[in-house]
Amino acid sequence: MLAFIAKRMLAVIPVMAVVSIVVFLLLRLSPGDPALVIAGENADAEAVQRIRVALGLDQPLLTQFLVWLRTMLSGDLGTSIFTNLPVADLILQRVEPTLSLALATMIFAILVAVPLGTVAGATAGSWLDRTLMVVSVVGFSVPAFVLGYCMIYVFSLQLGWAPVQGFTSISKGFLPFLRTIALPTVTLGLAYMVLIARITRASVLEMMGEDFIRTARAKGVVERLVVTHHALRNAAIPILTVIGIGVALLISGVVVIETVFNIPGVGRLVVDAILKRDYPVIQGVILLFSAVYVLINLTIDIGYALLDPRVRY
Amino acid sequence: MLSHVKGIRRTLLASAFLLAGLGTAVAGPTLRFVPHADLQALDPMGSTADIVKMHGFMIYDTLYGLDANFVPQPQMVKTMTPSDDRKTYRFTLRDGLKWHDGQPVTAEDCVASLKRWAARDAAGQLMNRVLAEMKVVDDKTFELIFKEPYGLVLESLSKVASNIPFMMPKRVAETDPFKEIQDYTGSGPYRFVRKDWVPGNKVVYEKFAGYVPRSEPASAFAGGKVAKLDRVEWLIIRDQQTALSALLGGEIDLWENPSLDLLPVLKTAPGIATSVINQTGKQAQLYFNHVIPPFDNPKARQAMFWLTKQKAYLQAINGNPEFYRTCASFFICGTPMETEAGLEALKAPDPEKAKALFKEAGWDFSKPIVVLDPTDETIAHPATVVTVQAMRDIGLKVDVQAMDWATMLKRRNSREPTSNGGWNILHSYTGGQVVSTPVWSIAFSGACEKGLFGWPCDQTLEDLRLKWALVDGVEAKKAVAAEVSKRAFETGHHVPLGQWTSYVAHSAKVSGLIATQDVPVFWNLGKAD
Repeated sequence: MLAFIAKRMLAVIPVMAVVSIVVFLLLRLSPGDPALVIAGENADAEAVQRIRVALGLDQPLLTQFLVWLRTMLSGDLGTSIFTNLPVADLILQRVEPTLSLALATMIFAILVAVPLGTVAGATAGSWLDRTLMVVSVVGFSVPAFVLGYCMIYVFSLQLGWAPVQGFTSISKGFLPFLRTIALPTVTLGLAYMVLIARITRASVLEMMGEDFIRTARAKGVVERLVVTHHALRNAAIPILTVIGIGVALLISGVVVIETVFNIPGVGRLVVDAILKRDYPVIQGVILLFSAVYVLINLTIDIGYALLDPRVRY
Repeated sequence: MLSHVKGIRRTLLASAFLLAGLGTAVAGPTLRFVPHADLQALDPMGSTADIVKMHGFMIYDTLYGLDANFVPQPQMVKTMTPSDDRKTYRFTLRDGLKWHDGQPVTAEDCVASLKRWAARDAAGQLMNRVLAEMKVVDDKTFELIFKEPYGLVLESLSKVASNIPFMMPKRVAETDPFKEIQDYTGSGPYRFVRKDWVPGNKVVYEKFAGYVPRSEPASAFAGGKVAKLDRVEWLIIRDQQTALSALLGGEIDLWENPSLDLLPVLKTAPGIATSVINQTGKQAQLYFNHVIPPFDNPKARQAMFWLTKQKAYLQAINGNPEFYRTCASFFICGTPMETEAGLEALKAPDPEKAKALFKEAGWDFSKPIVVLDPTDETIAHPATVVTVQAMRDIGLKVDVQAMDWATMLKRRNSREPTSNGGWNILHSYTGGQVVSTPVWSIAFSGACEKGLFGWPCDQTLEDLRLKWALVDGVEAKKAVAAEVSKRAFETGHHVPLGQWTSYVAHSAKVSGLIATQDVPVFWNLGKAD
């Protein structure tokens, strides 16, 4: 097992190397020039060129890449062209809200979806199963931003239970933190909840027809244990896969929710940076997202191996 | 069982009240403001963006300020004495001026600040052409000595179009004008709290207790800048619906740029008021690439004037006649230089005449004209749509190329033919102050490749701009502005597409909003508990 994990971790290095080259080239080869954005509407060509020189953007592409690679390998993600703040600091300022939202969303989705999907799968055709199907259709169909506005109207403006926007750090108390994160979590989590619940239901339903389930029942195992210990456990691999995919999808979902609830997260940081062509920030955040994505895949792969000893790559 | 359910209900209700209580917006001397954009840079010499200008007015002070009647009034200056030949201007600073670090403001600081500003700003560069020397006389006195009488001294020092001559400590002002400053010490009524700054989310200012305001009442950018708030927080909320909810929920106090379709909601919302702060507004323009066909020919450029129906543009850009006005003037209407000289075409558009002028220019109607369309931009994009339709209506073939704004900024620098990434027409807009005179920016430049994108090349226009700067007195300047206007039409410099203003929405607790000719300011602004 250890050798398997080590092999998988080594494979991360070339993946990240390719990601860093692609990110650098994509940005530099796409149209747009931060010097023009900084200089503003009425700047003359000379002023723009002087800004370009000051930022090192007049250098050949290879020189720019080598400079960036050298600073990045020394652990420095560079400095924002616009704010003059280190990219690492900008990301650190934004990590807590995004991480909180992503974790809370996944915890909410998994804690609700897996039991719900399991019960629905074990009692296929029941009212609970049909209700879950209806909720699934709604959950998939309603765009997150529409749901977000509705949540704000009801829970913030009408009931006054939660603020409309913003984020409060957990360091300022769990209750204030919960108040700012609750609505965004439910808004973002609904789609993931129904996705995981549907997969769980389908997987459990498939397992319930297997021979080993019949054998377990014949041996007199109580139905609850048949479902949780036998059916659910064997249905775990597809559920784990969809959770992994869900985490990757969260990255795009978080950007929308951060905008609707005005949460100062990493998603908004990168969108703003793209609009301004703030190269160091874009590179830093995409590298971070890529690393997270690779890490999640690694964790899922290791999870497969742990859940099913036959799995080896 | 029933009592158990009631118990649960009571607990839930109690929790809800507790949560609601914790959500109450903080009242008192903190004002929460949603600006139109994120503060993308902190150096007011490094950017011409309005948001950077607003930041500048928060923390820096100016030697002169423009009052509501467009008259420069002394701000940091106590007395100004011009020499008899009007070549030397002696300025003495007010008593009690201090930087945010407690050090006194000196004449040396002001001279260093003016030098840095003049290296970046169009009006500063113009002043440099006739300036012989900036001389420090003593701690509080300095002189500007000119080679010949210069008619724009106080106007330049009080200009509201970026870049604005904000005063900085000498150690900061000595930074290379093309590099960002790292020290944000000012002498304005508020100071920047850098530790609380979260780019893209929040900018924080605190009252500067050491600021000594003038005794005169506040008038636009002049008069007494009294800081009545202990703290001002700018919250960057991108989404209009979220900002609306935050205002209705009492989480913000002042919102700079609500869209016009929200006006009916805001006008009827209890405890909410709306006001127009920027009395001058903004102007949209159509720009030509002067170096490639068909717009290398002035007749083709003039044709676009005859094709321009300003009302159609304004309806697309703004849509509410209460907030927009047609204006057949290069210099934004409502400012002293407003003139219709030479612009009959804008008053009575004539598409047939436009068509005839294109033919006179020898243009082949089967060839495409490339129009750049920044689809993410809420002014330039609708303006593009109107232009394209008008061109197609007279039989022109148009190639509309969609892109984002940042890409357009890059593309507009291409002097190549359209077959190789070049362009013919693009649209943009500016704050009214930028186009209130011929010289505050390069908007009226005729300096070929050294000037404005599109590269208008006209020495006569350049001479007229300098003449406007040198003549003294409003009436004399108006006469030269009319000459500039006529010349700009003859050469088809660019087409003004009309102007509009916008409104701010605020809690009824907010008082003391000052009308300006440009961005909102925060002195005199108060908030009831």
